[in-house]
Amino acid sequence: MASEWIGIIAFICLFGLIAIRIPIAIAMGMVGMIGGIIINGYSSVAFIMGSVPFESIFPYSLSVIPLFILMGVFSARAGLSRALYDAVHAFIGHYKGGLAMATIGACAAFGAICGSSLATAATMCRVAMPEMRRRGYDDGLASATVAAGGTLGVLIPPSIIMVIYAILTEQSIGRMFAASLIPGLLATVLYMLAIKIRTTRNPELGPADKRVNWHGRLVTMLNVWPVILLFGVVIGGIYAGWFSPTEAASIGAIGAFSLALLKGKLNYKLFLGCLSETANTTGMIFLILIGTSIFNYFIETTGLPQTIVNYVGGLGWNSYLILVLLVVFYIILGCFMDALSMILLTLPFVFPLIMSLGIDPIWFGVIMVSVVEVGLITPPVGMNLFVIMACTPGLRLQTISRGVISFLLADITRLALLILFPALSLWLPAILMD
Amino acid sequence: MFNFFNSKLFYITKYVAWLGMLFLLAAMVITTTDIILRKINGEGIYGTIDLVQLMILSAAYLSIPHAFICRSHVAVSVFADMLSIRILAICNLLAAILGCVFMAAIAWHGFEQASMQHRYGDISITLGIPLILYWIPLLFGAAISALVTINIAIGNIYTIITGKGALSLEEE
Repeated sequence: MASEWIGIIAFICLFGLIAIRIPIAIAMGMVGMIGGIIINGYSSVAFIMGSVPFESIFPYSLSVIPLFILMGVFSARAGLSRALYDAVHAFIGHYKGGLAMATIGACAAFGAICGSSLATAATMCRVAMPEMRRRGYDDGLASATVAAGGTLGVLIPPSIIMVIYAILTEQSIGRMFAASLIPGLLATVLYMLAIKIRTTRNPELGPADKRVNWHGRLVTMLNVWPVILLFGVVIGGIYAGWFSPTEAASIGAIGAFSLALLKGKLNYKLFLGCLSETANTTGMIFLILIGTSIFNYFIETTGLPQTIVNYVGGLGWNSYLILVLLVVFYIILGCFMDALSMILLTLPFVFPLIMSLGIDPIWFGVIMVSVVEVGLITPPVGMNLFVIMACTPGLRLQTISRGVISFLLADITRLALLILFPALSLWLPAILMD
Repeated sequence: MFNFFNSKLFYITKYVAWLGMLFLLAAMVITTTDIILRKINGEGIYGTIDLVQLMILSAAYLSIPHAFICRSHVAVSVFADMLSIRILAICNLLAAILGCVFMAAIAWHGFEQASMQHRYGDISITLGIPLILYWIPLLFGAAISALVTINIAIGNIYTIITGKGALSLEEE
């Protein structure tokens, strides 16, 4: 049997295992191991199993991942989300749907210090959902707003998924962060617009709140300086050339820890809770990296990625058409898989294809992260939906699923804009880093 | 008996994960101190990269068992709600067995590789730290993870036989 066919069968087996709830890291690792034995024999796999789990975690560049996770966890505990929410609410809360728009704004700002979508969604849910429910907001709109807002944590730098993409494709992390800033802001504006349209058509979904005077606005703004400072130091430090991304993540983690401590939010028990939370996420991400590395070794030996590149190249299709097809593929895949697994699973095939088509890898990275982020709010396995449901008593999947439709439309609009106008992603890195 | 073993394993993985996180905090402190020293006198901590690599590798591998016991490893639950408790337990048993084989393979073959590097006297580039020190957390984390998956497998066998939910692996 041709090795490419073994690769295809391996993929079918992999999806079969994933469908019956085998953890993705284990499924990838085991399929890679067994496939490797079939193609190269046991001794080759024994060597790979002995060396790859070490080599896949050893690179210094990977240290940025747990450090950004730590920064996000401490930021979430520092109580910064409440201050952000109050500040944005003071400015736009008096509009119809203002509280929901404030939630989106606060999510975007929180995403600037927390690189995780789930952490952003969970943190903001605790702050925004009770408030929106109290003011009579429709449950579907309120919950979907927090779920969609959570995805901004992935897109607005620093983003853990962006870091992983950059490391795996050997791109500059700083360049990836710069490229995702405008798309992140665009996503924020489009989400707010989606809320505005919905609440204009049906004002009962999100009643207007009282207007806050300028004194009140200034007071709330004074409380958000730690967020601005942390973001400025971490991201500004990278572009000013003060530190590397790993160093910036270290500074950020220490800064977030200090803020949590200064605000009196961190006692011994909560500190241990932060460590456990960081350990869980770190263990999960690194095991996926190990499983992916083993799977990729096997897939490369099958020659399947090159066969796909040659096949697609032979079709002679326009690169934009292929890009659009890939986006559609990721949107469908995103309904069933989580963002990180999707990126790691498909990158060995998709990235060589993208390079062969002459597509800018930074631009593609932004599109890829944007599209997998859509998967976080698409039922039935949109992870953010489950986070919001877990934080909100009595909320049903149908209610939140109905609410996310308008945000999905906003996401599709953004993806179309990102594909049509590459400058949205590439202009800022060119200005800052060239 | 199972309950006793269960709670002990939970405590072990929790403390191992915290130990891993202490390594992460150490990496954070070393990196930050290095930056500050470089800014102050133009010279940072010698061998920062070697140290940070050791700390991060330790943090990663010592966290993996805790992620197993807390069921934090990402799995897709599209059909989970439709399955009966026994069928679900069979799927979970398969996941635990595959997880055990995978982690045991990493520990076993990693041990061979570590022994070889130890015999050759391999060391890190800058500080000359013996590479076997990098291997210790890897082997320990992988072995504990394999043990945790055996425990998860036993819990699922219990569910398959009795039709009752497996004993909680979480702290009481």
